[in-house]
Amino acid sequence: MERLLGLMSIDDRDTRGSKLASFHLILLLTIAVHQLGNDRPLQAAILLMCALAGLDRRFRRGSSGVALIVLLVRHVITFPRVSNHSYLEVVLLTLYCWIDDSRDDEQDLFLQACRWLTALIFFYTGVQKLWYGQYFNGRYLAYLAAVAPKTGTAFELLVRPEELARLMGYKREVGSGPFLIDSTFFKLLSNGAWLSEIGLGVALLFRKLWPLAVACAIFTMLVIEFIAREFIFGVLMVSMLFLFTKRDFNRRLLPGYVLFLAYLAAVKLGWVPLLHWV
Amino acid sequence: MTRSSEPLRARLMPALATPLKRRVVFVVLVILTLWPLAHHALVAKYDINPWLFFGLSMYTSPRPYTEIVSIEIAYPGLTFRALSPQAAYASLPLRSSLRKLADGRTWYGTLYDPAPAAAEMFAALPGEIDRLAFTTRRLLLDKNGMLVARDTHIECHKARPPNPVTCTRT
Repeated sequence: MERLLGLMSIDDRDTRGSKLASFHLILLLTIAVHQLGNDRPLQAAILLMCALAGLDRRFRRGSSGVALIVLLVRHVITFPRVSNHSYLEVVLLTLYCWIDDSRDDEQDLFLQACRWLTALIFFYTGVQKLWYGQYFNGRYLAYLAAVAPKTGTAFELLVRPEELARLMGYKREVGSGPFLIDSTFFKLLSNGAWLSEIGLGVALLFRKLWPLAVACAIFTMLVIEFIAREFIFGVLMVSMLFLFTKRDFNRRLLPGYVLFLAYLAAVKLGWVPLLHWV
Repeated sequence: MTRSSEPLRARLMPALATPLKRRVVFVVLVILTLWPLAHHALVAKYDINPWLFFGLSMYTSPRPYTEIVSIEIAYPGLTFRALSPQAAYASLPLRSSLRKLADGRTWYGTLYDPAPAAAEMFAALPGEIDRLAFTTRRLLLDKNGMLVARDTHIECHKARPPNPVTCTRT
């Protein structure tokens, strides 16, 4: 057990406390913005207050507890229509409640668990794509291009206009298709998705590879977000990846996180339009 | 310090030793490592929704959606006759039961028991109908990138308490 947990440990004693604080703020802000999208402004407001309260270490555990209760109530109400992203939020908040973050060894435990979760998420999202087999000839991405308007901007760059028009012309009914694109680049991209996810999941198990793996994983996340447009999940995953670094990059990038999440919140509230590139 | 003067947090959650906390976190991580494997087996065997239940298999296949493409009713001793799905959806009690059935199959696959929804439909339909049949459909993407249907035919019969309705896949 200790050996496995220890795989995800580094000597970051000086920055552990700071990492927990900045990640806590980012986590609660992403959850608050996520809830805004579900037309629950009261829940979002409570979560926002929890995020602010958590800035003070004394209130971090309590604010995590309140946020966890809010999320669990929402899970009970909406079950089973709960996204994987929401389950991850619950696991991370439970971890904050579980540890005593005034203790150095428990701060380390928190970071070890978060790093394991990050590696597992990368590994299994790739393995599941491999198992379902719909990425080999690119048929799932072609289907996604046809049915998910939010992916339009990305696929306009990746697919010839006449191909995209053909795919978007298919109805979602029996006999429609083929949802295939005759392009080697597209098939490489499709297979690159699951290969890179599995590869990164494995690479994150080796401490020496962390700097390279984190850089590649952030690039992969940017490509995935460019296509899938699930920015709130993207922000959370990027902040989890920065927990692998010795320095607390999340703290340095905090103004950027806050501005981007505020922009996403404003888009969700209809105050500003979604920019074309976002 | 008396119990009543302890901080609230200490009373709600007594301090646990760090080794115990480490063990609990480790067990949870092991469960989370094994769960996607179990999830994949449940999808393969019972057709549960791969996008749900934290199996990390979103964006692996089209998001499942079950629709009810045919409904048939039968009076005692008579053969089935088709009921137009549009007509069924036009009736509020039937629509609610059909929605429940479609959602149940979308989320839980074949683990969802259609009998409660069928019992509601028996109650909502006029006359002495004693059998109901539905065909549920899921659209799948085949190897050639074509959308194909996977249909399941379910027959439900009025029975005696304690199970007033029993359903079978045919």
